Amino acid sequence: MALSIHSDDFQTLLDSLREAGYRCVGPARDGTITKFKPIEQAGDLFLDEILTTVSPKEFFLAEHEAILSYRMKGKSDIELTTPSKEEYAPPTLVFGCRPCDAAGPDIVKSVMTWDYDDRFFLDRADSTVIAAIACVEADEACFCTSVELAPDSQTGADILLIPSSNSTGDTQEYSVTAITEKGRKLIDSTKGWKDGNPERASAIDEVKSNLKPSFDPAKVREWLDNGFDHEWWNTATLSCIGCGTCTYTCPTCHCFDIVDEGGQSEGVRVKNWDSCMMSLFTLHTSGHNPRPLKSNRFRQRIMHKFKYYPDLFERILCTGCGRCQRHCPVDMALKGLLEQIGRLAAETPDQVAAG
Amino acid sequence: MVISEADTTKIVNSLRVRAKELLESGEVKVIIGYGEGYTKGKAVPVFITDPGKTDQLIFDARCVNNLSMYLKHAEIKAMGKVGIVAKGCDARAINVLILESQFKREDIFILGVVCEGVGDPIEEQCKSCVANTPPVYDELFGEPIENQGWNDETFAKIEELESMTQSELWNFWVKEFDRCIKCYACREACPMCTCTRCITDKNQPQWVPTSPHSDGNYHWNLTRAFHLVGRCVGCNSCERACPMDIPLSLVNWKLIKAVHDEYEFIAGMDAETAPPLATYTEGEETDFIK
Amino acid sequence: MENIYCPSLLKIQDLTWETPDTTSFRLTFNDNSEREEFFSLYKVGQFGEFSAFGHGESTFCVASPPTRKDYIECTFRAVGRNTKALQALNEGDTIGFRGPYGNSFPIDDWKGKNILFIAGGIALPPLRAVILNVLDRRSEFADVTIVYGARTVSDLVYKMELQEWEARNDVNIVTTVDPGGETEDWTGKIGFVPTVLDEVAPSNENTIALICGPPIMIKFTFPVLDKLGFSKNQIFTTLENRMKCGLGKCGRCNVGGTYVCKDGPVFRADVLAELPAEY
Ligand SMILES: Cc1cc2nc3c(=O)[nH]c(=O)nc-3n(C[C@H](O)[C@H](O)[C@H](O)COP(=O)(O)OP(=O)(O)OC[C@H]3O[C@@H](n4cnc5c(N)ncnc54)[C@H](O)[C@@H]3O)c2cc1C
Ligand code: SF4
Ligand code: SF4
Ligand code: SF4
Ligand code: FES
Repeated sequence: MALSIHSDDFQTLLDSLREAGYRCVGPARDGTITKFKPIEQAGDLFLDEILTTVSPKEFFLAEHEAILSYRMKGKSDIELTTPSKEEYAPPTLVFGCRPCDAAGPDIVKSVMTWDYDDRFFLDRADSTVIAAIACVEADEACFCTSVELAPDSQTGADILLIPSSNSTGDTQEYSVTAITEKGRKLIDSTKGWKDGNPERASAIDEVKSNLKPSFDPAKVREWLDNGFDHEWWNTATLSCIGCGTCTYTCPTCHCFDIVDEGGQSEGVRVKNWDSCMMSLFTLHTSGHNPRPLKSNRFRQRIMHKFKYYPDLFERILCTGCGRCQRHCPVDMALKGLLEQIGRLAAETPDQVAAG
Repeated sequence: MVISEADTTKIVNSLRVRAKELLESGEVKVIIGYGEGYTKGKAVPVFITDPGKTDQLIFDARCVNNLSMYLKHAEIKAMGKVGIVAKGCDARAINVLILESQFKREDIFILGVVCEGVGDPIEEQCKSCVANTPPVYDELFGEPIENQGWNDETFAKIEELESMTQSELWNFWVKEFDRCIKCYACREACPMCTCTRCITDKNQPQWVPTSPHSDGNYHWNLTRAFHLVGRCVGCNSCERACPMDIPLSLVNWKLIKAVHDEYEFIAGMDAETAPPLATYTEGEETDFIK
Repeated sequence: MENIYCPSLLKIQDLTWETPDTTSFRLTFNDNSEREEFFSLYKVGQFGEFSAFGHGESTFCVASPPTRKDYIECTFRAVGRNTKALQALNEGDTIGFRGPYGNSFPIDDWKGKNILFIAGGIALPPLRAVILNVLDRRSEFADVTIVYGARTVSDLVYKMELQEWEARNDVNIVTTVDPGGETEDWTGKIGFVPTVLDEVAPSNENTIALICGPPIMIKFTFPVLDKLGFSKNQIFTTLENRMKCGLGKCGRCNVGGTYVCKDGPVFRADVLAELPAEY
């Protein structure tokens, strides 16, 4: 049966989530930025922005987390403890993210299960339900349609809310689709959902048709296959200041650091977000650095997203959310750069063939 | 507004012409200036090596970035002599860098531009600019104008913080710094952060915890601040780059005020005055070192 | 679900100072089932993450062969935070270990072949596991030649074993030190590894060459091997890119699309030649 939910009933939903043992995280203001935060009051949800400053990836790949604690027992014995799933992966509903953000964890899952399973990611993915809301607006930085997604795509979402034409500025009705079993279960065990099939807002399809693909990822990948030593990297990346903002705000960047914090007798081993845009990332203790220049590092970022990852897992490591462009202090627009690569690929078929 | 639209057009035109000459004559190998961004309405740093392409250059209130930070990049150093478009804050940063022997005055050609402030709305620091006319240049574009200078408003926010109790102040900063994600965008955007290996990237000992938890964030932000005392030119690049919108300028301006109160020193006004925190004079009080 | 980042606990059974800054550990597993699991997987050439708790983890190759199943060994130089902390430990102390990770030398494909080992300085450990493995299965291989050099006599590692290998008549071993690095009683050669290799001139016929050493040595050794008629698919080497996880997750060890922690650290020279120079 068709389902719907009205924003007036968000509080009912939030209350029943708490009763059912879920925490709800949703887009909210934090000072002047927006991010996903635990939500108790429907009024704290901030759903008007196209995209939050940072993606909800921290609920899958924590920005900072203990993966182990150690404690000396006696003179030379050591006790190791792994945090329990209950501690780091409580049942969670990520509510109101965009379809591109919902796709993030689904894409990253491939590497997190590559031969070895990263339990911290997988346990969280397992206990988290994602309820995405289709987009009625896009900006210049958005390019989901170029990377096999759409303003109403279901990839990675457990539940999809589609805004209906029934809105009054402050209030909004949505039609609701349970995409996965997990999503269905959450809906069954919580309140606020209603029967009904409200009419889809026309804005969604307008966004969809206005957001034409601006490059062909297959062509880009083909150019990258042979473009490693191309002069373009040096000129195109000169203005990058190597700040890493693009990678930290990205929903698919997943590189991390492992460090020990604590003393001789006890402490924790932690996993922190890290970034390929920093020179320290690959620096050897000897001082040798395989990627000494920012052009090397920028190339790594693009190659990883549009060639290496697709080569390994047949998925593009980018959801087209455009955060890397929106927040880049020097407007290094990934979309624009990929368009440039697309043009290079079209201009220089010889280079591609000859290598 | 002292500079009219017609003046601005004149400035941009003469910039383009001069940049072209400099490249053609081989006097400089690259011009760092501003051009149109990919995103509509944004101005971005551009790097021009082809004399035929100097028409890319623009200059207006959208040109917010402090370009002098590029002078520390290996890629730029490798290109040869640089011609750089510099507004007051860029020029002040260049003065500090020269004073700190990062490069020599003759290594760069400064295309100074008179600037009435950047940003829309105009950025806070521009309202108290001490260098609307750049203090150093090889050639000036635009007629020199009077500096805004510091005024009653300049330190109003700092004074507000100073009137807080210790615990209020602590809570204020903990809350702000908690958002920090340790991306170090503030460091990379800063022209003064020239260390080849930042102290946060050193692990023997681990001076600054690398994790983005409260402790690590506090350590990092204070360390950054301390290293900029008497060096920060208040260009706001760090705050602008910070994706988490942490009000780093409040830290910077507190330090700018302290250095001025104590030593009557303003960083980057020339490349000669000895910086107070990097100078020792005989007989100076040292009893604070315990 | 298992915590892939959780190490096994190993005790330092034996500690040997190889050079003033290089130490070898012989390590025993606290938990026998972890030992069994390790040896059910381990092949020569693989590496692990060794940790002094509170200081981090470091990637070292496992320097002992899978034919010796009571312990594992590693040899490392103190260069940074964790290696210095490890070096400060004593016999009886406990360290953390994760592994074995990465690929291995395909020695089963080399049965009946001559094996030529070329190593410089601290880079003997990755080859030592292979040497011992080959010696433990000596009859399966033809001639074994080792060319090993270091800057000075005191920089040579595994001095005891070098003597043992010299004493064997089924191993042809040549040791050398850089000019000026010799001592009065030095009986080996004096000269750089590539030069000495050129003098020794091992045959390329039916031979596999393994080479590990500082980049500069590798750079000058390749032309010599080329001159001796070795083709790239007869030569194997290992790469050392900065690593954290060792598991293909943390994203920093890749050379182009190749993850050194998973598709390496062992590379055949013709495969390596296809990779971009990101190492
Ligand atoms: C496959 C492989 C095998 C190795 N085998 C040996 C060996 O048998 N013996 C030995 O002495 N050394 C070996 N190394 C190098 C060794 O890993 C580094 O010297 C060590 O990690 C330095 O750690 P640290 O904490 O003391 O240094 P720090 O500089 O304090 O370490 C910081 C971090 O840098 C990284 N790192 C620094 N240098 C290197 C490097 N050269 N390679 C990889 N990661 C690095 C590590 O991730 C470390 O966690 C090997 C490296 C690789 C990749
Ligand atoms: S956000 Fe922009 S300037 Fe910063 S590292 Fe990314 S591309 Fe470079
Ligand atoms: S690379 Fe940029 S556009 Fe793609 S997912 Fe990451 S932040 Fe979004
Ligand atoms: S730019 Fe902002 S978030 Fe990034 S390290 Fe600096 S203060 Fe922290
Ligand atoms: S070491 Fe982490 S991916 Fe290879």
